[in-house]
Amino acid sequence: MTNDEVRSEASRLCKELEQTEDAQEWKAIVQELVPVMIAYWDVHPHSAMEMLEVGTMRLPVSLAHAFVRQVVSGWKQKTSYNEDAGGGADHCFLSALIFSENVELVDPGWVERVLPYTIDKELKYSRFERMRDAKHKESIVRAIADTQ
Amino acid sequence: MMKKAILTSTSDVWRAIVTNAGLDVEVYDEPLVEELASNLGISPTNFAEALEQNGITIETLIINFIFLIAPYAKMMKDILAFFAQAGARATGDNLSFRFEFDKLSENFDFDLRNFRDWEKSFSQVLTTIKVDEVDELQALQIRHAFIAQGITYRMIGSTWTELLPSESDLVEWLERSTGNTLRILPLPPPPTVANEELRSLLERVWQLLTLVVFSENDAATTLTREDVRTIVRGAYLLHSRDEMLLDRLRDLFRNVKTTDVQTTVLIEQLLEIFNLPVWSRRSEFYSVWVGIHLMKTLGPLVRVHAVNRTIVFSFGGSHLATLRLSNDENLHVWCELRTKGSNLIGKGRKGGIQPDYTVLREPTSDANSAVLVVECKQYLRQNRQNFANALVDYGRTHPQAFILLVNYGPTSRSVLERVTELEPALRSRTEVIGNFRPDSTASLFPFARIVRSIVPSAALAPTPTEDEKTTAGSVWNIERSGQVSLSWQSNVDLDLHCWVSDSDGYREHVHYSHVNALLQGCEAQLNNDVRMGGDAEIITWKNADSVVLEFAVHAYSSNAHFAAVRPRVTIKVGECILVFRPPSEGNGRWWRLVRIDRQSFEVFNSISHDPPIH
Repeated sequence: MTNDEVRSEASRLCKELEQTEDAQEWKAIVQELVPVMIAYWDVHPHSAMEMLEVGTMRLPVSLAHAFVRQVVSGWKQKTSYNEDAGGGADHCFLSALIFSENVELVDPGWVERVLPYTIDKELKYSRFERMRDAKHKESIVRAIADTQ
Repeated sequence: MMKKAILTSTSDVWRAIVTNAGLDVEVYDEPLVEELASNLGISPTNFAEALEQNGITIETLIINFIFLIAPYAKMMKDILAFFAQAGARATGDNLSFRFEFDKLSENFDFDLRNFRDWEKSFSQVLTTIKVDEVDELQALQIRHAFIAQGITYRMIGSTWTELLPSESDLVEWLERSTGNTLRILPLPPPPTVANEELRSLLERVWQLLTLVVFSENDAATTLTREDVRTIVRGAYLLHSRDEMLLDRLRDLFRNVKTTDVQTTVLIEQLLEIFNLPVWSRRSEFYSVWVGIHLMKTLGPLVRVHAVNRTIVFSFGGSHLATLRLSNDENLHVWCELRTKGSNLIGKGRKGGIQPDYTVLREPTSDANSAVLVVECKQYLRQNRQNFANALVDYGRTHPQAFILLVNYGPTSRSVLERVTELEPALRSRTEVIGNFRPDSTASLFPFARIVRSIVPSAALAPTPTEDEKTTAGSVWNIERSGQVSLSWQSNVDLDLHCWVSDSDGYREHVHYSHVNALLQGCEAQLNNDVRMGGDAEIITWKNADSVVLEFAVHAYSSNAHFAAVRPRVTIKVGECILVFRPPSEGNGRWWRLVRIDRQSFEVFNSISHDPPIH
């Protein structure tokens, strides 16, 4: 796939996630989306991190856990992998990890740096209503916020 | 014979296994039944009836039985590999070995073909086992079913903290079951739950975990061994929240396809295993495997003795191997060496002792020549009195030897406490190691440490003879010793790291908090922890015959960017000197340097976020 095709395919699949309420379809879409998201890293890590957050918001936590774990595992195998490679999208990456209960996948030092403004963002611009499994995700964020 | 006509119930299948496998469930194999019952979460009393009463399926019983005997399969594989290597060195492929007991009728011979038959049959039966057809997403979703904020983990500040269950046995298992170790430590049983549906779902999860644990490598399955720990830990933390766990698992398993296990095929294959001569001699092979492990631990220069192309393990005593030392002395490994003794307390031990293995210095006839005694026990439950008596009798008879007792099943410190009660002076040179089985890093590692501390690598011959080089078939083109030095000038903290690994999966990590390592005779040492630049951190190594060395530099200070600090690494191997500077590209706090083994020298010189070896 060309870089443009990766971008548009990732957007299309994330859009499809938003449009269906069928759990079996979510799973089928995720199966298609995982390799596209892994390829997205080579196109633009910043956008890939943003799209990972979008996908995670549109999935229930259980499936988001599997989705993020597979994508991050694919990213980590790349020599260019670096948690700072997404620049200002680092909070998107951390939000995806928090919502999917996968925070232990990344460097604790990086989490320490990015966590305060990520939690601040989630509480300030509460987006939970737009998410699937919103209550579960909000409780995860609030529990973290309580320890800050 | 197991006939299809009788395979209508789990209890019938169990009775058929007992008959065909020749199990003595009342006495000798009773602990095996106990372990099987524990794995199935049922009572060992009236085991056949308990299988029916608890709704254990034929498939579950067979699969659990196969996993129970899997360590024997690995033992046979190790024995096969050892003798194949010894055979190749000595006389070719057709080396055989002979086991001689008190009665001539019990003697038996094996050759490599017997072991190959066993290995092939066991591999076949393992590949026949299929459980739920779980795809990658489902496997990770199952993983997530056992993760819950505040119950299995907590974010404290920015740190992800795993919470531990209250069961002390489980905490011990979690502590011991990291990395390679997990492969052999038996999985704890699933937590006890009242809800029948949840119990059945947990059983399906456990079948999946069992396959992960027994798989050759993590890549073969989606779940890693670390995931197994996460799931087991989570199951015990969450089992009191049975409604939540049930909802999660029910939802996930609703869409999981289950393949019917071909029980008839499994049973036929099991039958084939039971009919192999190796199975009927499985108990004798445990001590053979221990002896082979002892010889492997002594290093590559051990010469195994074969007479007329046969290695003899004799109950009357046989000289198995010799190890050449650097000071023109030899160490001798004897099997079942009988030595006169007095004041013996062990039941049936009159006038002398006969441990499984004795390692002696020269002259071997001297009363103080024994340096190490290894006794093998194959109990699934320890016998405190019996074990302690053996340690005391052997220690009294061999006053200069370290006495090591290894057991197939678990042991506890109570054995050594009993030794202290009986003869306090012996405590410092006695040890017991439980769960001594193939791949059990947690037990093999202390064994190796003890053996190597008694036979120090410094005493080993420094270089093999020309004949030994040829015999071993190795390429002698990389020096066995060398040094890596790291120097820099800035006021930041850098650390030099070295990982020493052997082919059995043991690993030592030399760095600022662990400055010495000894593995397979290879010694590696860090001179100093330099924290502010100026001086050099130097790691030296010697006797690197059977290990791989990997080096890296870690920027301990978070502000120590390699490109700015420009540290210098000098590697000296023989007459070859290599100088490294960090590459200008790449992000992260790890600078991976080189990987050195006996045959190659691989340069990485790359920067990454993760250490080269976790």
